[in-house]
Amino acid sequence: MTKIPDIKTLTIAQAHTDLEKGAYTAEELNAALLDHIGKTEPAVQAYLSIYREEALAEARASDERRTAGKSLGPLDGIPLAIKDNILIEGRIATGGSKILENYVSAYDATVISKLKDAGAVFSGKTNLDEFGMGSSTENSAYHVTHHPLDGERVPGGSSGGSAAAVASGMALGALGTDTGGSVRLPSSMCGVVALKPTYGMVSRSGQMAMAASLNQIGPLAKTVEDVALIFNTIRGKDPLDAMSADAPWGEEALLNPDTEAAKKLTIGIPEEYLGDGMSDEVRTAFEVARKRFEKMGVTVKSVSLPHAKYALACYYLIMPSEVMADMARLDGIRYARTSQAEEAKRLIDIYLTQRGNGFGPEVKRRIILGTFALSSGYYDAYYNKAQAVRQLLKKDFDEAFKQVDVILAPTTPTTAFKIGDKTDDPLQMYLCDIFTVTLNLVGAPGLAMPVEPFLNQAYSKERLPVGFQLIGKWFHEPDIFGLGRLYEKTYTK
Amino acid sequence: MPAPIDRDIVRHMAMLARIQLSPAEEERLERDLANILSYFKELQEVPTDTHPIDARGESLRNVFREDEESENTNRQKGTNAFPHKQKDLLEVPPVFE
Repeated sequence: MTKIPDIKTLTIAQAHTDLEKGAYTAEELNAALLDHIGKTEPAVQAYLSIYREEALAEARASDERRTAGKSLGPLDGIPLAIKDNILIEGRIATGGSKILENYVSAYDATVISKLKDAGAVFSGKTNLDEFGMGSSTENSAYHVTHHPLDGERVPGGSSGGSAAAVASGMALGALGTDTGGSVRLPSSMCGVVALKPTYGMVSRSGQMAMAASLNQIGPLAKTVEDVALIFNTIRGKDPLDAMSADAPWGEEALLNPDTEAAKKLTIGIPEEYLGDGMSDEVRTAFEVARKRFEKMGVTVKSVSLPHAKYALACYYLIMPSEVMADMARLDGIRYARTSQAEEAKRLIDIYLTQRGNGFGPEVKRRIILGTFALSSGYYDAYYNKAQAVRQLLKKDFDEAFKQVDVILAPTTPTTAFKIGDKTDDPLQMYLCDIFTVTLNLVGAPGLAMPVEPFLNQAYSKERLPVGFQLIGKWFHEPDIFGLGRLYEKTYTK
Repeated sequence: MPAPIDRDIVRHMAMLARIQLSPAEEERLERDLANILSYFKELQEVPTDTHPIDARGESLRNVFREDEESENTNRQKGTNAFPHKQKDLLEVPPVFE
């Protein structure tokens, strides 16, 4: 096993090169990863299920393909972790909820079919805030995931298991979902890279819907290059998701972006984001990132998003309203059922007990809030008002993108916080999402990356990761990947 | 902007949402919702009258799939996931007492 480089800093691109050269086999790589999981998982608890035997069998199949000269590409044999609200046929998918404790997926999500076609190996399913509702992974019905650098802190959420798995070397890459920042926020807190694609770039078929007008599946990995490799595999129009679309560019623009051309792009920083909403360490690190872009010759100027300050309130009305509708399918009739609900005599008692016992406090809070926001007499004042403000926000971005190509913003207002710090005050927890929800409301893509690239290994318990996001125009992912690769190439030691 | 949350409203919303709540949960939700709803007050200061409100959003176009007959091969897998069934029919308790 000495042939395998340090798995904690191994990238997908490097592993692929090594596998192609025959430096080690996919089976050896996956065995080394599972071995590392065995040592690391007890402290981090990133996973809800680990697929030991299945992963090794998939890896052996990958080796056979490679030997036969039939390798399926850059992800063939690469171990990836999947957030547990994405379905893999025949495997349990809990969504982080007790209500689906026994639910076995009847089919593959489209992203899973695409990853299987690319030869990827699934190391396991990762922990999450119940159905993606949370910013710390503390709302999982199963256990709390710990920050890989400081076990007393959260990894961020809701894709906290995926981010912690990648950051601690327990997966080379991962899938998460982003409804209000759920791949970007934990990636930022754990110091890895994540993408929230343009709304519609990735099919949501087989992803448990939380808020349908906001949800996107997004990849997480150690580098911008690796995130591009996963994104390129899972994107594209799918008849099973009517909102999905093909990209107006070819894969070269994404996988090998012209970083010289990227220097000619103009970056805008929203002045509204530089107020008192962020901690000193985030402000300082964000300033470092801004100066680095300037130093590389990129024009950076100020832009205005006048309605940005209303984004969080807008989001926390629209999202629960959609949650209330999307959670209605979990009725104790169509999917797995809790034992308490088995004793119900009437149909309505199944609903009441199944949902009463099966949902955790945050899910209940959001369903009730959404029910209220949509109820007769309050619909215009809450839901409709929020939708109107959402359109004003969209117009803000339309205007800003007339002046600049890409927007640079902080990802989180603080670094990773202590476990239990915000669990008693939902509003404080919601404020974590202040810089991320806007993109989901307007549908634009965001590439979240650490100020100090992961491979520099510059972070520690004393110096927690800080990230920034590059926000692109709709369907202009190559712009943000170009700037991201430029930054990463220049500042990785 | 009134945000009148009381225990009865919480109970009514919970019943509409088909969620059984314990008294402790009702108390907690009443407190949390009042707090959260007060945060939404700031939205009321945004003038939106000049802008036509369309909850469906703008720049949308409808997407239809081809109107073709196809066989659903997933039926058996779907019914297999169901907790109770008789042959290939799904079994639930009566709707009325």
